[in-house]
Amino acid sequence: MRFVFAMLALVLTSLSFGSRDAVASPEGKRVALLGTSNANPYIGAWTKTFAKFATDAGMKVTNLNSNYDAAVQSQQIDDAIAQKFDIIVLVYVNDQAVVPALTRAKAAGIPVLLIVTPLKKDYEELFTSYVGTDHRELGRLAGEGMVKGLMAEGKTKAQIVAVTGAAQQLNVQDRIAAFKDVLAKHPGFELVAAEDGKWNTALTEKITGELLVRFNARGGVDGIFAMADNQATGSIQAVESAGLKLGVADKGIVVVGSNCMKDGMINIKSGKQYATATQIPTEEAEIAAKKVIGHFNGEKLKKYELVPVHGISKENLEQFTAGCSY
Amino acid sequence: MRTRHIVLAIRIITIAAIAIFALTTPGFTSQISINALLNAISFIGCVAVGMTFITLTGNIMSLCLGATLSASALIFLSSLSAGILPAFLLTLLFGIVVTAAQGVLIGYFRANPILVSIAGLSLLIGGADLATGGVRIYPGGEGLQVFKGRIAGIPIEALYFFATVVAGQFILSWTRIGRAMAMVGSNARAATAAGISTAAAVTFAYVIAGACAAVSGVLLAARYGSGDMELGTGYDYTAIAAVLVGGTAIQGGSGSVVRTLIGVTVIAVIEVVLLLRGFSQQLQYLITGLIVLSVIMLHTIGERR
Repeated sequence: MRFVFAMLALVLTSLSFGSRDAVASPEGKRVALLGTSNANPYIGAWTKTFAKFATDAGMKVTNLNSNYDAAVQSQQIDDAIAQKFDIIVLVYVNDQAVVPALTRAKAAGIPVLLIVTPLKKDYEELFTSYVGTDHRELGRLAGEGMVKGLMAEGKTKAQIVAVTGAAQQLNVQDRIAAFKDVLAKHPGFELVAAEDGKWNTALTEKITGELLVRFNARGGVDGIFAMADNQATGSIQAVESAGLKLGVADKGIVVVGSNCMKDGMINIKSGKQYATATQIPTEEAEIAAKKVIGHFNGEKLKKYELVPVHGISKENLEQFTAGCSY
Repeated sequence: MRTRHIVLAIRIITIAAIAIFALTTPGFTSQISINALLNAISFIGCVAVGMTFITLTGNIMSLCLGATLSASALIFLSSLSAGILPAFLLTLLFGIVVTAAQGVLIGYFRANPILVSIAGLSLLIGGADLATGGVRIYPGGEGLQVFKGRIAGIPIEALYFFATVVAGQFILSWTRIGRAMAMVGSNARAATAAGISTAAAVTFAYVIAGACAAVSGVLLAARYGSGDMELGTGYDYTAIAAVLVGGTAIQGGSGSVVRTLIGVTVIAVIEVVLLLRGFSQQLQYLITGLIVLSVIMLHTIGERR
């Protein structure tokens, strides 16, 4: 009798799966959301928003974080393959270390949606789609903000330093490259140093302080590109500690960021930071969730689903304050 | 004895070489540079002082102090609406309870200190994620200026750090519990035979470490006006490096807070000088790592002889 019930349950389950496959739908699909660390405010806000939209659409989201450990992340991808998740949504830790695991995911037929940073062009076949920001565009906007700020001070020559996010990341390299491209159009403006601040506020303050000293005897620093707004807070603190002038109004050091946070909104309002750009996790996560839903509804995703970005300065601050205050 | 003299001579020569290297670096002695250096050593120095007590009691290191610092910053910012003093006291209590609980597990239940600290780290990260939803925390009230600024031209953070060093060294040198901690690290059985409660000594070491991390968290939160769980990233490793470079024995029993002050200063000076001299980032990491390793090896050789 027990056997009959078991067989009946098996048949019903098969029928239920069969009907779901016949009519493509996100309902009941299992999503492995593999991140780096939810302690990072950007990733935390992204994860929370994505989980909400995906869950509302009937998907089951399993969120695992590697705490920036590439080996742990590879294991998590393998686990997701073994457990036959319907899709892997991934913020990778290391663009090289992730390749073997992504190759296995491709072989297993599990689609991979990359977020935050795409892979190099050589590995395009390993992911289904990248949903996120064009980091070159963020670098360009930061460069334009810097040039605009320096020109507002009447400067035609300037020494600029950059304190970046984790230097080994492709998104960081893209932003710096695009930032340099903008400066290259203005021969008097030179990027004299780029140091790795690892997206960390305190480390950025320390590095900025040392850079201010290094260039103090060589004409001083005119501009600081602190890659994220929390880093801009660190740089601003360093400039203030050094007793140097800050902000365009005082013809002081121009500080720009390239992904907005509440810190940046406060600092731009007070004139301590000149500009930043949008990279709003809640907005990106919502779009990513909709793309995943679209994928399960049979929509063909583009290889690069780029989220539009905007430069932010005092003039349009109000427009972005709510979105950037995550 | 002869080897000890040679090792001592090498130590003096090394410190002298670093000092000369620093003093001949353009801009190193400028006011801006000194400020940057003071800021660099203050926060990490406080955590390193706390770490000294843990190492001294023979428990190697804690991988949880950076996370305790970050979580303390979040607690402080979140509770600021209750007033600056209640927020500070609540944060201090939080830091102490978090690490004291680990001290109890290690001291009374003989749990592995590294594993306990890893578990503590995971609990803090998970707990903070649940409590904050991963979002950055901003002050819920006013009064942060109390923890910022300067007194007689010296940053408050640096004054706090020096006060921590003095208090820490006083506890180690002049109090019964301080001497007990060193004895426990040196030989736990002998300490027990001498009537010392080894578990209480270990727990107290963790209490001090938690208090140091909590106050650092408060100061960092006040400095930046915001906080997240990444605020204390990397503090554990830099703190233990400073403790070991200072010459506190990794197996415990021998060391001091003043030595940690020297260790944290040496590391900060090397980092500042390399950056001021324009070394590439890769070379900065490489050279700092090699110097730290060499100094630790030197101590190890000196202790074995």
